[in-house]
Amino acid sequence: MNPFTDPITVSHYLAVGAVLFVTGAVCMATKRNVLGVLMGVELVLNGANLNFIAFGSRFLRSETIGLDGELIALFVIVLAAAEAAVALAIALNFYNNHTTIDVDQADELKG
Amino acid sequence: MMHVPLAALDWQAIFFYLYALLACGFGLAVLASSNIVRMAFYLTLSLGATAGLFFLAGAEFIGAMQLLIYVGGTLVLLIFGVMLTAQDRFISMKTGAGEWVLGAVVGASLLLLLLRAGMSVESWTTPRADRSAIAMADARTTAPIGMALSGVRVDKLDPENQRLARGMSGYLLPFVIISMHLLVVLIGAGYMARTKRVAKGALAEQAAPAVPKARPRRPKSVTAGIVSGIVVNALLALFCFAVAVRERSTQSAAEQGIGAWLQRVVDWSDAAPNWFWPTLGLLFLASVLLLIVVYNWQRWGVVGLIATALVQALIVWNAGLGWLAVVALLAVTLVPALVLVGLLNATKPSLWSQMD
Amino acid sequence: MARYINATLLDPFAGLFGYHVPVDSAVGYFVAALIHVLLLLQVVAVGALVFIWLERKVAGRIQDRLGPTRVGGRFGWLQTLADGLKLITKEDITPKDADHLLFKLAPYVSFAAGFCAYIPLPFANGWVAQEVNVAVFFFVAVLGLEVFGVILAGYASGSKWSLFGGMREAAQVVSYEVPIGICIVIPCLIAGSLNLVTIGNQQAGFFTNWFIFHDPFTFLVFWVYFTCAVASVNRAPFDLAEAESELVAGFHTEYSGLRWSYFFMAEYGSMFSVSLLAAILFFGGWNGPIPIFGPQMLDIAYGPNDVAFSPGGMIANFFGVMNVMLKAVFGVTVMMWVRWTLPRLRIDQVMTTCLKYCVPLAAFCFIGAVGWKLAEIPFLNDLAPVYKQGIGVVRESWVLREPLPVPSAENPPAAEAAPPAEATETTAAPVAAEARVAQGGLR
Repeated sequence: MNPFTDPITVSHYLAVGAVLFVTGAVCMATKRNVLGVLMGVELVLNGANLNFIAFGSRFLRSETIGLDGELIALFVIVLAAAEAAVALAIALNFYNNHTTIDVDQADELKG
Repeated sequence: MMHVPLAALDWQAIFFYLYALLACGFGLAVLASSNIVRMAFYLTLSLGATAGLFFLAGAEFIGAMQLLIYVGGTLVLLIFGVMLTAQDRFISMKTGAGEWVLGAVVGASLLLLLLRAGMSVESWTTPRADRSAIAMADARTTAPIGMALSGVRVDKLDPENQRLARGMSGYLLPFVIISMHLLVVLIGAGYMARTKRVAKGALAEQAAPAVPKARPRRPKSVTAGIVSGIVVNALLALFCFAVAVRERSTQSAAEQGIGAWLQRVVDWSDAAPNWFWPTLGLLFLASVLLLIVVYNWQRWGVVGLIATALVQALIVWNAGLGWLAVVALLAVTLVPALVLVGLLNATKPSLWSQMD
Repeated sequence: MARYINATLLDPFAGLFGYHVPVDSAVGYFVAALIHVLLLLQVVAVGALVFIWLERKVAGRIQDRLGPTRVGGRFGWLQTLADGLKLITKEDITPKDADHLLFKLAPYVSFAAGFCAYIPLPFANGWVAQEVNVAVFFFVAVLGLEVFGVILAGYASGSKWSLFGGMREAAQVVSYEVPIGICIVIPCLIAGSLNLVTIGNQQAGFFTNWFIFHDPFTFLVFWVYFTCAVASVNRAPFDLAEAESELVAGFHTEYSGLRWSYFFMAEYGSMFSVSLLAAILFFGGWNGPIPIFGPQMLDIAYGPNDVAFSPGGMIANFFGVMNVMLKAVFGVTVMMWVRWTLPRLRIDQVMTTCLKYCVPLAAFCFIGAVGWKLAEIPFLNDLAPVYKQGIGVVRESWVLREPLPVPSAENPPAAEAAPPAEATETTAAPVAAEARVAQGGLR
């Protein structure tokens, strides 16, 4: 079976979404830089968005969840932007107070 | 390589593999790189490739939104953050080998689980039956999305399951909630990330604990006056609220004890509007609070006491209960307030001048 | 176009060798895409050539001198060619502290984003590289990607001043995206579509049909859009990022030779593309002031539903291209004129202009334009209308025409689809249809 002649199904998209999700999760777990962790969060949200779009796409299957998939993805994009803004503000404050951006140094509840 | 005629190639598949490879490849590059600026750049490319995947799946509005908001907004913000904290020693931070091993093990197991789940459902692994009927019109989702966000689901005009038709509401409520949420979040983030200009001297001052201001000795008469005023006003407030409750209660009039007394007061004030007694009670409570304020050396408490007394007199006079009631009220409220003012000014140096 | 190439060019050619090329073949699509890309590249490259020469001439005249007069005859036509030759032969220097990969990549990122913005822009009726249904949206999104090239260049140069210049410019471009977005939405809501070909076609007829004359708010919005567009492409008076007297050259200080010329091509390309967008959105695009080729006079232009080839239609489209180019070039000339007339703004003045003046003005005009259109107050657009714009011009097939019965168990609601009509105006029907949609039980 030539992969280039088989039509694309929802599972293909789910696989890509899974890879992005796992990459983001491992990124969140292993990066020492706060902004690296944030990038992991963005990757995770993108993997999830890909899943939603795949389920709502009319090109990939006949019975879909239709617009719901796209609308949920829209809301996720917007909320991810808001969350990135707040997380960056926290990171900047942390950097200003401790002069380091290493998450391993953020181990006290004070300040 | 086997000979595949050009017409048999599924171009959607080819472009899908291209974009998928770019997205996953750059995602893994984000993971593997240790230079924070390059990580940001690879993330940009990965998200751009994901937008391409969105376009391929027929969600053109969401693809454009991804480029506009995610890549053009969120990532610019992220890169600003990277630039602001990009000192030499923070640009490349390496993680220990042990953490990599742990991360790899957990990641691999999660990936296997997700891939297995993704291939498990029959409906997800079969492509669309009538692939020749795929039209660009299916991708024109902009206007239906706009209508759905206004509350009208034009994509579900004739639902197959009639019993679900009543539940096909639009997305108006989440839309409004998200707008409010964004407003709050952005204001909050902007406030949190503001530049705080703290001078060196001010820092020392903030470090020292706040010393309470020294107050002069208060003569016993003034203290007694304030405390008795609090007690009397509290009792009067209680009385007013009791009358108000009695007024509103529908049970038959109790003929003995406090109930009878209260009933007499209610009958006497029949002409007054029905907000009379609760308001009077609230104003007495306000006087209690203002007396506490005066106890805490604030001048505006005294001003408030006089004002409250006058307002109460106005209400009583307006209620048409007779000038005797007005005079009685003034005697209970205004006269003690004026006596208090006199007492505050009696000492030398006067307490009034030492309040703030 | 791809099918045309397949059927009429490739099939006979391959037939000579005994092969058959079907209409759907991918080869035709690739060839068509290649032709589109080459045409657009030619627009950008030759445009940059012409604009650099034009800028030097305009600057000279404003400063009471002649500008280039030696290379290529009396008017110095080929000055830019000489400049290009000089740039190509310069030594390619990469600073020691620079991040090599990002340093070399930054000009290409900037140029690629600027070039991709030409994909949804139509030059005539149907003459567009890719007719995207969300064309305006796509344009704004891609324009926002240009800031990455700037930031990367500023950071990767390895010098603090380049970083400052890059950050300032990025902040400026990103801030001005907000008023540009609001300004761009107003002609879209007048036309009822994000498709640029539709928006251009809606302005057919006399020049009174152009959207800039739709209501005074849109007229005001055009000026706000122009200001914000000038700020967005970092032209004076908003060009503090390249302020020669302060930061040497801002984010592209360390770039020399051909790399620098990429940034310059990206800048002139962006200038031309925002002018082109303004021409299509506000000034009628490829429609001239008098409808010569339209149904009123010569009647050789393509109609709304024509698919066959017609020589008259091609001639009409050529003149349309000339129209839209003239308008866009005029816009670029105005930008140059403004550059050499006004002094430069400081960064806080730039931000003040954006946040305190442009955004409230654009938002106020937005509400005004929406109200004007909802109340259907007549203005210049109604003098000689060709495609009258009602409130909900029927363009989507799901707008209902029949009143819906209340959904109960026996009679499921049936939606009779109205035929998608691009040009017909139905003021009464869409208003009533929207009312029926609201009360038709769609909860």
